[in-house]
Amino acid sequence: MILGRMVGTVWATRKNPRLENFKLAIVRPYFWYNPSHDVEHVIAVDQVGAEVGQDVLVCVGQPGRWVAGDSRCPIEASVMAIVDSVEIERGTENAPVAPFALRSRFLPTTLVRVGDGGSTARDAGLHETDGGTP
Amino acid sequence: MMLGRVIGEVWATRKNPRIEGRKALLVAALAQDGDRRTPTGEVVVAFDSVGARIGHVVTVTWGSGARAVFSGPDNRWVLVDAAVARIVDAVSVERDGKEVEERED
Amino acid sequence: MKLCRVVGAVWGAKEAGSLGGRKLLAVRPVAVASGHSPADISADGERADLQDGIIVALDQLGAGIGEYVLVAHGSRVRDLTLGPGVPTKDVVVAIVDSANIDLDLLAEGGAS
Repeated sequence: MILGRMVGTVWATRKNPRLENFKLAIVRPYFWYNPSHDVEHVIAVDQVGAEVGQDVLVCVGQPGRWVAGDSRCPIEASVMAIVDSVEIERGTENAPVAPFALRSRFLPTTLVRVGDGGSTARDAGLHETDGGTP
Repeated sequence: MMLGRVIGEVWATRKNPRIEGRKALLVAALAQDGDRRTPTGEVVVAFDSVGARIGHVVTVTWGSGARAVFSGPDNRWVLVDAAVARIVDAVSVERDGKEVEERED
Repeated sequence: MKLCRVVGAVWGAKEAGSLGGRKLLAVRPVAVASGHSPADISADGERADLQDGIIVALDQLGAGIGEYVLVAHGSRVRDLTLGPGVPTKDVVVAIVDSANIDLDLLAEGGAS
């Protein structure tokens, strides 16, 4: 799954019949993993009732299709959860450089920093000021 | 499968009921080259099945492998995207032409 | 899925037989996060900011140039809409009436 922020909504009347009654959310990912194309957003079917401004978890691929128990929806993403909080160790929030045009200052609204900012963040090479050597 | 380091945890109460009870971890992908690991910049959210915590190096699996982690042979209805399958204690790497074990401390 | 604008159609005299004459559209993804797109996106409105790069998607819904569409990617998506064996993995699954983006939410930061 990917973590992102719901930033908008799409309305469409002419569509594949299996998308009938689905709410369509525009999600801006905080982090990316292996997207099919180099884009800065994902349109996800939302059955959890997310609202614009909320952090969400989006399921991509086959599990994303098991929306309402029907795996025959021709979609590639669906909202699986509304995020209450994201805990990241203090220091790691200088977010890893994302390779798809995401700037590192776009952070989850529900971000909570925990821990002492010790070895995990350094070892992960995730500090911007580090040379990057793990 | 992907090698990664757990950098965080995601808490959610309102969610698709089929993922109830699952713990979601933020995992930063690592590329392994010999015995050096470097973050690739990609981050994925994966369900935990092994009690992994922030700082652990883990392997993440997708698809049928992910479903198998959470269930038995008849797992078609398990709703899992990516799953943390294993906490990496040691990784075999080649050094000086021999395979040695490198332990995670 | 991706929000895209139809910028053209792709025609070819010679094409794989299994395309069956279905229409191929050239689309460009909307640059949702660029900060230059209008908040409301529709075919009648101000043109949205577009990313570079063209995706060629197969369309059964009859979208026209200048319209916005949702494009889904994947062999399974292709199987579910067009049937197996069609040589494409990008399919138009919806023609967008309108889309709204809250531009304030695209700002950096967000965590105190």
